[in-house]
Amino acid sequence: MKWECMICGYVYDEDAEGVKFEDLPDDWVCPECGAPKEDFEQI
Amino acid sequence: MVCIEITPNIYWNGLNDRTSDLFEGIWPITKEGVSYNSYIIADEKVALIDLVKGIKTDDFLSQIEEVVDPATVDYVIINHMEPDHTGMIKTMQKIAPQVTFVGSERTKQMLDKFYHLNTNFKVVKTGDTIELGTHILEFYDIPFVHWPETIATYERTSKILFPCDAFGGYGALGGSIFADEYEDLDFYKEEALRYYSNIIAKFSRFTLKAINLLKELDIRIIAPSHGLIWRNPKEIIDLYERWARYGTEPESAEEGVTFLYASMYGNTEKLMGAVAQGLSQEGIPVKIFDVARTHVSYILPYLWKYRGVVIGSPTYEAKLFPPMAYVLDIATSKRVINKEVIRFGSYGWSGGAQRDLEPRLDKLKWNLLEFFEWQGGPTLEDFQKGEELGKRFAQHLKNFN
Ligand SMILES: Cc1cc2nc3c(=O)[nH]c(=O)nc-3n(C[C@H](O)[C@H](O)[C@H](O)COP(=O)(O)O)c2cc1C
Ligand SMILES: [Fe+2]
Ligand SMILES: [Fe+2]
Ligand SMILES: [Zn+2]
Repeated sequence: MKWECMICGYVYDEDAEGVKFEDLPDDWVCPECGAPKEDFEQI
Repeated sequence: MVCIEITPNIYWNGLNDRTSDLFEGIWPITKEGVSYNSYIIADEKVALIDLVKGIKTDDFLSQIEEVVDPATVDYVIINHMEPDHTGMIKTMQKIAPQVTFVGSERTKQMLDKFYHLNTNFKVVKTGDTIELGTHILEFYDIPFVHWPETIATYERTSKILFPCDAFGGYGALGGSIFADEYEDLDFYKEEALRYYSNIIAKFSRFTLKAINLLKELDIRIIAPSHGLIWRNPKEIIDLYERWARYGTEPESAEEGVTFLYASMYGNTEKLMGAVAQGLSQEGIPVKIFDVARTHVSYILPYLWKYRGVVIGSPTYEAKLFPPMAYVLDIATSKRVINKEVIRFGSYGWSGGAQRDLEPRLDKLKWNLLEFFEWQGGPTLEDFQKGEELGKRFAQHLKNFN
């Protein structure tokens, strides 16, 4: 599954990263813009 | 205009744009205009802070000439590389080939891609300084206010902050460049909120971060690159902080309703009046927009600040009326999330607007409390239902916190 940062458009690809988005720590932030997890939506 | 001295040897050197119809190619400024502010610091070394859009080149250069020979400029600080502030960059480089452009690492990379210049470039990051003589520039990374590369510049001696897009607004400058010289700031404050909701709102979290970082500085004057200069910086900082909080703390939104409607043949419009009456009777501020006739730029500030939204839309080819869908699309991309909502609308045969709306509301995280649909023209009973709907919604909003 893929998740997109609603602020900057960065896409987190679970397959490529090998870690489910839900399993990322709560303080994980978008590597592109620093937005928190809640700014991501599944696409 | 002519250059205007802000503090000894620091000048405003901006341009008023009263002829462009659209800012960023989308936001109307035909009536309001906009300014691109640039600043000159004429010390032992000469620095320009931000340039302007690539219009009125001669005017811009003539203004610099009132203070210094443009060929002798030592530094051009690129706080933000969006072309409304860098449009003049090639001209500057031709006139002053020795000039050193200053910005973040990201600006260096982006500048190259946008303008393909071979220039002197000095990379700065938070805390770095450049001494011009008695004036000392300090730099602060403020990413995503407005683009990822953005920095703010603070001048230590005069205590002026140059934050580029942050604390800016639409509205060409009138008789003064200083906010404190206006009898009435309503126009500029309204245009600052429209600008905030159109341009900055999506990056509210970053805006708050930037405000917290910059608040540590002893700021006497805020000199943004659009709109007025604030010699009472708290006034504009407080406004921006409030607007940014609407984005990060939805409970801080104002009690009020953005009332969006559209109607092909008047059936939905008829109920609009009834619902609005219900709301107004309960004393809730209501701002009504015919979405087919109002540019979304003017709707966004209300959507941004008010907690409530009413959506009055008929069915059109089994979906929402397209201008309504457009407003919701823009609200989605601007991250205008967390609103309380009701909807009403007429349909002709099997409807479909409601089905189209619901997934859109999910994306927006807007909470739909009730909706009311009827076939064709509203009956007297429907009018009553509309008014009751408005009243219930008003009560819900009043009891919200
Ligand atoms: C171009 C057009 C497309 C329409 N498509 C639909 C439709 O797909 N489904 C439906 O139930 N009604 C449809 N209608 C009927 C309208 O929803 C109906 O006339 C309604 O009363 C219009 O409300 P209004 O007067 O507020 O525009 C359509 C009407 C027009 C003019
Ligand atoms: Fe910008
Ligand atoms: Fe700008
Ligand atoms: Zn991001």
